[in-house]
Amino acid sequence: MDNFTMLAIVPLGYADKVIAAANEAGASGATIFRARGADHTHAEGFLSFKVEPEEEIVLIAATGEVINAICAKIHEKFEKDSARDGSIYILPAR
Amino acid sequence: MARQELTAEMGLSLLVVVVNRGKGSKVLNFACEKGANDASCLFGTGTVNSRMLQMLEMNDVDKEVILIVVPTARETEILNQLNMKFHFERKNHGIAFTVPLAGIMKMKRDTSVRWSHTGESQHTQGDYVALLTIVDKGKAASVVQISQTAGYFGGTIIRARGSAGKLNVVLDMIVEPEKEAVLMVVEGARANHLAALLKQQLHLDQPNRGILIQMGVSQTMGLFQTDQHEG
Repeated sequence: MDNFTMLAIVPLGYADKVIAAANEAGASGATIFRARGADHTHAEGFLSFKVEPEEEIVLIAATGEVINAICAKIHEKFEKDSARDGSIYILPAR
Repeated sequence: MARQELTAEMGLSLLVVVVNRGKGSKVLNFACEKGANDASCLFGTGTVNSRMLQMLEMNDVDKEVILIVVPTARETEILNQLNMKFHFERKNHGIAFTVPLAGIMKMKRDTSVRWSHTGESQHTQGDYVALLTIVDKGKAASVVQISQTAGYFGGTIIRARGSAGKLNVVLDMIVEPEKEAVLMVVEGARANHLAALLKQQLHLDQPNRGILIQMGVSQTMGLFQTDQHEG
């Protein structure tokens, strides 16, 4: 069976939205990590302070089909009513 | 170096760097300078396999885990540059490893996942395997203990919170259980044994006990497995 681990990196506060979408698409669970990012658009700095945006990382383990469904759902939700963007990275799992 | 848009066709890798706390921002800035598009930093706790320090209860070392997405073609170059700056070849200076990505998506722009074929085909290569065990809070120490008593090495513990598919609603409040994730890098040949051991001891085959993920690692740096040390 093709198993994958999905890492969704979103701005702080958006993790619940990802999880809601994932649950609708058939994910059985998710784990949320707190992180800080290095967003290069802010890397120039504001008054020589470097801005490190806070992020949340949502980890979901699922099969390829479920991941595809989750990603479609997340895109649907984020395209319409979200001010901020996020990225999804998929890692092969054994 | 010029920052370019990442596409699945070029083959992408996730570069994971574990360093002592305080160095995380340096690694993040370094990654940005080298043209990384996406980098994030997590707080973790390392474990040192030293009986002396264990007795003094000083065996917890604060760590930072940095995730950087890099094109596979440039991963060796970036690893070498990181090594020149942060000296992973020396003991206790941190570790770095790469995991090939199978797919990528931008939430607002893409309509579907762009699967990378190079990533998928690569995932059996490599001598090492990254084991990610996610368990309830408080059990991470026993995961590390199980692996250390069985002759494996420590790992990095990262705090997290879980969200089960069925939400536990208690008095109209949604309970989000606290979790801990343990990241370990072990030799590929022994990984299955450790996975079986953890599965048996932590009853991972039963629901709601935790999950275990194995990922093939393509390149590593800074691992000192033979010397009873992990970076």
